[in-house]
Amino acid sequence: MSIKIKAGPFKKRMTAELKNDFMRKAVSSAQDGLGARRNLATDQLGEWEKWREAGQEIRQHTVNNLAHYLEQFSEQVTKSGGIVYFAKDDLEATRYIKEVVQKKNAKKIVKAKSMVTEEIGLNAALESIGCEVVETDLGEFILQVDDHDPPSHIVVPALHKKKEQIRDVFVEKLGYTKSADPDELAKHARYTLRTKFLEADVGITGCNFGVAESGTICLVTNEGNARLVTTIPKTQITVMGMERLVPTFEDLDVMISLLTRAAVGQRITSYVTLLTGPKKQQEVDGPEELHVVIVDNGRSKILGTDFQEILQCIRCGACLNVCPVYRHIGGHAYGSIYPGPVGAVLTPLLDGYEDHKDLPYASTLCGACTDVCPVKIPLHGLLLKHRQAIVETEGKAPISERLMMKAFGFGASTNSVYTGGSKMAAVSLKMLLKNKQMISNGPGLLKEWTNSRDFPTPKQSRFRDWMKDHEGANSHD
Amino acid sequence: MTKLERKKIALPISSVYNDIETHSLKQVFIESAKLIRAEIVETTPSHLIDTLNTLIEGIYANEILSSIQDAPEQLENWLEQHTTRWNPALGNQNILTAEQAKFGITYCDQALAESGTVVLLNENNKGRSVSLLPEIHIVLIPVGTIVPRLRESMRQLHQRIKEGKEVPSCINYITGPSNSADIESYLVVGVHGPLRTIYVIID
Repeated sequence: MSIKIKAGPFKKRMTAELKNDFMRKAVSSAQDGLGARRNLATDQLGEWEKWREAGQEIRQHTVNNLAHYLEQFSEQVTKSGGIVYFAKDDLEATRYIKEVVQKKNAKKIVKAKSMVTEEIGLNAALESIGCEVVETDLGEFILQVDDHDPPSHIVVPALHKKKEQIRDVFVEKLGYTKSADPDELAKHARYTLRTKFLEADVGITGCNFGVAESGTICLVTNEGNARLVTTIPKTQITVMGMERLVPTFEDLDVMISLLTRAAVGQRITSYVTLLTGPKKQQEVDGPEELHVVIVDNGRSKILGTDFQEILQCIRCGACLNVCPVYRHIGGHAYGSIYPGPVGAVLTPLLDGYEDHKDLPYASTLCGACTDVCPVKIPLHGLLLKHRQAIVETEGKAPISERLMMKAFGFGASTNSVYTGGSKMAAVSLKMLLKNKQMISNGPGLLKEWTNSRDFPTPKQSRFRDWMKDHEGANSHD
Repeated sequence: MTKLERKKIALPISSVYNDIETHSLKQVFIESAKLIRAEIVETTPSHLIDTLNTLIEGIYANEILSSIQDAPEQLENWLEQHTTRWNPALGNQNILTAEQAKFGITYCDQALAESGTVVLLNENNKGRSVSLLPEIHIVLIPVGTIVPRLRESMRQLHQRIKEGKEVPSCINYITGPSNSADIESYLVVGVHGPLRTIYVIID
């Protein structure tokens, strides 16, 4: 899997997802549940706005000085006995990781949840050299067992799946014999995966935060799988997006406090694990060898542009949880492993406009994402900037918008055409009236609107005429 | 490396500092721990052995793995008699013992009142597996180790770095049993880590 998950035009994907009633119910109830828990947790913390400002300052400062902190971080990782590799793109990253795995003669790999490994298509790369790669996060495990169904949320990847579907997949693929009860399903996954952990040669994780002052990798989880991945295998490979740094442990306090509350409404998750270097020589468990692969893959191109603020993102998913568009179309319709508002901003930046030019339009610009973002990324502002870039520099506006603008350009270019046109609008639209007030079934472009709601008719008299009639009467009031 | 100039920002304050004006750190810790499904047992230094005996009743020493260093004599004797000790000389065998164990017993270095968290600094051969692989994790929490929140703990780590000292290769902030809400947003308690977590608070 790479950043793209579904082919075909956005409109077609969206229309298909809109018909998925279970997914839509699951998304709306997850949004409501997570939203309520987030609000409770942020209220209990107190001074939430000040926390957000601090988070914004820390992330902005880090991104503004990214080269400095990357250098410091990699120095510290090296000092603590780890090996750092900078990968320019997905190919360099997967090539390096394959080399490490082959050198170790490793066949069995366990993985903790990581979006960046999805982005670089790591599983496929490792499978191509004959490795068994097992996802161990419960949601990711379910998706993997179900023939690599793509994730639909960055925090809750299997949000779109029904427990009965999961049971059926477990029955078919894992010889499962019990009910669709989530407790029983999870227990089965626990026992299946325990063996995998114990046999694994290599453990692969993502990285929530890298602490520059110490070279520490911070993993924020609930299930405990990331702890297993970093405790049992003899080799650990951690893959991180190059922007995922904080300068100090004091900054890390602020970032963790924001992340767990914004993501899932928890004061802290069940496990926050800080790993500095491989295990010490006299220690028994933990990896003997630690590789930290720092991935650029298009991120450095965003530095210094109008879109730099997106690099502040800490992948909490709060913007997905409030987005009215995500609520209706779910994650898959976005066609990217990064869905929702953050995905609509980030995906075109990492993977180009060509395949993703519709994403910045998958927004009502209501600004709920911007309001909820724990590090104050102006998400809907960035979506507008994308639209601007698409129209102005890329010349890739949707055809309908281009035609409309052309027609408007022509209509507004001379006074006589405009006057004639606006007079005609009232007359022509009147012909479509069903009940004298609203148009329910419009032609052409208007159909897009009237498919889901009625369109009001223009007034019988134009503002220009009304103004003319009233001008004389009111001018000396 | 050159040091980077940085604007000083006023750090935001958590409401936990208000709570500890009217309640003890221990009370706040217990309230938080209840929320995250930790089981709480309160005891005193002189009753600790009785408490532990009750908790592990009927389970043999080969199913109880412990990793506690520098324990007071009485506790040390009890551990030696009733538990399998984490023993670096045995290498990987420790991990297999942990995997088969019913109980893993650890001693926390710090506890956070705001979130009901215990902090385990895995240095000097304490073992990461003891708090992870057994079915039930028992953690001993001397009341003096409780601090208000994550900030105090992170500050200490920052201080270590400033003084040029190392930080442990692994630090775990553990908050209750492992859990997941990945299936239809339903909360499953006990996924990959321990199914139950018991906090023994020693006051």
